[in-house]
Amino acid sequence: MSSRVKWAIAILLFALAVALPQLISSAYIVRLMILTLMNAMMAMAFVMGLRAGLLNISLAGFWGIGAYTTGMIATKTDLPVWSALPISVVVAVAVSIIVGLILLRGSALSFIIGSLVVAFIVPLVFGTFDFFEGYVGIIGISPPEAIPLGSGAAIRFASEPSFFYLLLALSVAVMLVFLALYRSWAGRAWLALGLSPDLAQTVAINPYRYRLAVFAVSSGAVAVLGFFFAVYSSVLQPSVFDAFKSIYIQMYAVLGGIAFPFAGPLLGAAVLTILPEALRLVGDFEPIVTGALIIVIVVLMPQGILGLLSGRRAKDMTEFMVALGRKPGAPARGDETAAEVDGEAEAQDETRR
Amino acid sequence: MSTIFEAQGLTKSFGGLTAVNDLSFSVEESEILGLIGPNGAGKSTVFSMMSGFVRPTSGELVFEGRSIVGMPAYAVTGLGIGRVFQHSVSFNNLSVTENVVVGFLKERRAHILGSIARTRKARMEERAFRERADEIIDMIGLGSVKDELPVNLPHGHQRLLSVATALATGPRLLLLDEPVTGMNPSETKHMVGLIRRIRDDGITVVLVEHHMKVVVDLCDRVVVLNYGRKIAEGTPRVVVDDPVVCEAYLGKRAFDAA
Repeated sequence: MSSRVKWAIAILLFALAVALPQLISSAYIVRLMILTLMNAMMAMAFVMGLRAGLLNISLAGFWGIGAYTTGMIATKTDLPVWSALPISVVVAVAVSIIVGLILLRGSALSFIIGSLVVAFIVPLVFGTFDFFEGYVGIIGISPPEAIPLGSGAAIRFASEPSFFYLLLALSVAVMLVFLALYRSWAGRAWLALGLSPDLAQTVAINPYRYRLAVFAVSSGAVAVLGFFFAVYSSVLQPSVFDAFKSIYIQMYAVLGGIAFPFAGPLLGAAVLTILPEALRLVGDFEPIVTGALIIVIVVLMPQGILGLLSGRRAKDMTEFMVALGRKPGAPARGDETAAEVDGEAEAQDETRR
Repeated sequence: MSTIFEAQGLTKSFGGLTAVNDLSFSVEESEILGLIGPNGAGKSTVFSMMSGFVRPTSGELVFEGRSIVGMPAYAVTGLGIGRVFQHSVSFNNLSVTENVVVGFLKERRAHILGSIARTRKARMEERAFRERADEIIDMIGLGSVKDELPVNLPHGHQRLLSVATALATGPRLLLLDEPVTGMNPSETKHMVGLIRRIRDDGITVVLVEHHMKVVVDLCDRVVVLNYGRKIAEGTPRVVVDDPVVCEAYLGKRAFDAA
């Protein structure tokens, strides 16, 4: 697909997103659109990490850090609610850098475990400390102040559509930043790192530094969504930001197709946000049925829906995991021509880092 | 000729296994040095230590008067040691040109914000990198497949691409791990010519290779390893005729081939 066609589709989708809340009177449908877009954006942040070879399961935690920062500012300070947007991003980025400096010291595999631990710790911290209102959570977060348009008119944030437009604006901004990053030399270095970490080192790419950058940027991006979620839901509870959410984020990306940094998460999130709603009919069994469906889908198409449709290959998740544990310069698969058959190769594995 | 790289008392043990044992050798500027030995002799481990992927248990590695022991691999590349892996490894989702452009990353001057905003300076730098990448690609003979993905190229071309990427990092010492393994005779000839050319451009080359004819043709000097120790050193002809080397390593067949 040429880039012109892609832009045309993107603009069409945007126009559709702008028009839909006006055409549909159901607040429930608009709510589903909000959830879909929010989930998709978080999955995009996940794919960003994946491109640089990071399997980051802590994103829901940073989403929570953004949301809680906003909640605290809105309920406990006199600062304008809007100020919570940049502050949330700064706090999340700062925390991610501190966490990243520690977690990224180890191997890419140990990072996965570390990020999972972070995903568990963040909601525990929110729940345990009275400072964050414990498990009762933060309630009564006011929406952001109206934006005056002159002559008495103003954009007010109250209805579902108004929140959808707020989210849409934030999402478009985040996506444009992502796109610009992917096209910059940093994006190229990330891609190189993700495709082959060892080869990347032989072109002088510092994995530690570039992965720290991707970790910080993706954490900052989900903090934007944390801000949105706080002002939209007006109530924050620790359990919303638990590790399961992080795993869901990963599933949105995988289902859509991890080779597609924007379209994949949008499609995956749409399916996985709407599917459980559609399955409400089966009542309490909904999570079981959803889970089973996801397993079937992922087994049948590890490249995701878009990967299956387009035939564009990226590493699927299995390959990705294998690549993380590969020794320097080893072949992707097969190709054992004149490999050094001795203990030295295996022993190398043990001693690397 | 001055010494560009030196290994002194280099030792690497993995648990109880000593892969490289008290190895010393030096690499002179603008020479092609062959590192040979039977399977398991420790050649790959030496390469991994020279490029910063594996830290020696003991010993010293000096590149242009500077110790590189303990430096991570990316920093070693940054200093000017290029490495080409034994197997065809390329960035598979990037085109041939892009694969080489990645190699110029360490030279970039444009700030990340400039690159994001696509300022004039950033775009000019990008264009300059692309032009230089294309020059390298033409030089190694991949000009006709610039926009292909590496996976669509034959094995020989993939190996050439790995060399091109390494050249883009501007190395002064290039480590080639089995550059002609798995190649047909015409690909081999092309690669041999390329390696000579690289040396003539002033880049010192160290290679590990099993193909004895290539070693004899190409190398100015060889160092022979067996069980992690150096058992011989000298010009290829002399080393190949050395009875110790024949007995320990070459065997009758390879000896005849040479």
